[in-house]
Order: sequence, then C-alpha cells, then structure tokens
Amino acid sequence: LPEDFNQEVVIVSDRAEIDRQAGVVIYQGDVLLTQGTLRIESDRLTVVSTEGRMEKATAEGQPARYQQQINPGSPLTHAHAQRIDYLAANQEAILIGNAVLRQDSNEITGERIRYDMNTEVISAGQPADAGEKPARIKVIFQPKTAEPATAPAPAVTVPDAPVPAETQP
Amino acid sequence: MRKQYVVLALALLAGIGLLNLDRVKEMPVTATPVVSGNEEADYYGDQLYQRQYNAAGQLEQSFRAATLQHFPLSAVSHFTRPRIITTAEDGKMWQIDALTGEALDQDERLTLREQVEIRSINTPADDPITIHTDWLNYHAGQQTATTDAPVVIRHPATLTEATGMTLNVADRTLQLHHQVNTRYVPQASE
Repeated sequence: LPEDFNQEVVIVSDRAEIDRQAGVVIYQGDVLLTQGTLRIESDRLTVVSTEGRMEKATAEGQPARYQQQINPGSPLTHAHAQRIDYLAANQEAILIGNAVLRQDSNEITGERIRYDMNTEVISAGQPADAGEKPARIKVIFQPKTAEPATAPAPAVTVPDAPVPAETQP
Repeated sequence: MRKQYVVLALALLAGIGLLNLDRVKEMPVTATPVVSGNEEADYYGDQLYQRQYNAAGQLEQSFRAATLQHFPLSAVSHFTRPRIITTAEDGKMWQIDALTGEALDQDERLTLREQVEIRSINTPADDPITIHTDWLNYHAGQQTATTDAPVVIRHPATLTEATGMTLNVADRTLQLHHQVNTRYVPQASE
C-alpha cells in the first residue's frame, strides 16, 4: 500500500553480522523483511545503510520471494527470483535471475525485471552482451472477462534489443 | 509382568539422568566462581587503573575498577564498577561498563556482569551505538567481547534484539548468533 513506505521495516533472521565500517548488515537463515504489506523472504539479506537509514536490501534465495499489496482493493503482487534488490528510497524492486512477477492473473518472466511500486511500471529485459542474443522475456495477459478486470493490466515496457531502454510509457 | 516393571523403572532413571545432564549443560559456562564464605582476600585495591599500549606506543586499552579483591584459594579477583575502554587501529573506541566483574588468575578473560553496557564513544553524532546485556566475556588479547545472553542494540535508526553476540573491536564487526530481530525506523518522506 502507498503507506507501506512510511512504516517500520522489521527484519527477522537466524543470525546476522553488522559491519559498522562498511555500513552493511548481513542477515542469514530464514530471513523475513516486512514493511506494511511488503514482504520479502530469503536465505540471505544484505542491507546497506547510509547514516543509519536503509538504502538498499538485497535478498538472495532459492528463490527469494516478494509480495505486496500495491493498492487497496487490488490483489497481492507476487514475485520471485534468485535475487531481489529492494531500493527503499526509490520504492523499486529489481528481480534478477529466473525472475517471475505475477499480478492478478498476468505474469511476466525473464532474467531481469524492474518493478516500480509507485507507478506500477514494469521494465523487463536483460542487456545483451556483445554478440549475444538478448535473453527473451515472456508476458502473459489474461483476456479481459465480461466484468471489468479487478486490477488494470500493468504497463510493461519491453526494451529493444540489444540495449534495454527503461523508458516510461 | 515383573519384567515390564523393571524396564519401566530403568526408563524412568534414564529420563531423570538426561534431565540432570541437560540442566548441567544449561549452567552458563561463566558462572560466578564461588568464593567460599570464610575465604579472605589476600590483597585489596581501590580506584584501580591499568593501561595497555600497542607496539606503536598508542593507548590501546585501559581498565578501571572502583574496588578489587583477590582471593588466593579460589584464584580469582572480584571487581566493582569495572570499565574497559578499548581502541581499534582506526581510532574507533568502545567503552564497556558493568556493576561487577571478575578475572581468574590463570585466564586473560575478564567477565563483566550486571547491567553490562557497551557504547561506541567517538562515532559521528548520528551513528552512536549502545549494546545492553546481562554478562559478557572480554578477551583483551583479541579485543573481542562475547556473550550467550540476550542483547539489545540501540542505534538512532534501528533497534536490534538477538541472543548471543561477538563484538570484534579490531574490525568493527558485530556477529549476532541467534534469533535476530531488527526494526528500522521509517524514513521521513522528503
């Protein structure tokens, strides 16, 4: 929910290591990050803080899982990937490695998906290394039923190969 | 029929034995060394102040105590109001306070007890950290503080609770051993 980002972030784990010099905390073992309706589960979570404020949390797992209710009344958005970068200040999540994002019955899969939780804009695609074909992404939009769909289909921008252009519609 | 009673009795005895074993294991490794009631201290100190310098001649650690009593038979020294100030190579300092403490003659480890507080001293205004626990062992040689007790870590932007901790002064890392729960204060929206 919009007010998620003004809520306390709570992180629970089996153990942790705080490196005060680097301003990094590494949580390990059954790690759960919650902030309002936002929920990230992973095996390992690396939190980078600046002046004590959480800037970025990188979740790694087999897979790492994300879930959040973006708007009141809309269904939960689910995602999972080998790695999820949660950029707290920008309110963005970047899913990397076997990434899947589901909203209502729409689904996007790819190697890298960037999800803006504010505007619900999804940028999918992976910059192709020189001479390589860009990794393919797959988008599934369920056909509109008679009643209006509960949640508008997310706006998806698909970068042209090979250089991904993360453009807003 | 009698055989069943014998088996039952043996099972009960085994269970009680295990229970006792478990209770012994629970006893903290660092229980206060017992000084027998009538043992007398062979020497007594007041306003103790000890300093330790590193190879470069810089003050690395200092130890103070309001009082010291040494008990020869138990081979232990008891302190009141011990305070350790320890400095890492990068100049960052930590202060450890407690109500009581003790040190065994044959051991470089110092055990601090009751209202143990660790605080970072010369850190930026927005980055002080304080740690509270019931007891800890301080190892002067390695400049580490360890405990198995619950710890509460307070920082302007976070509150962390855990069970068991190792603070390494030299590389400024803090390992939390079990049941970690951290709360990040919400960021004020710009």
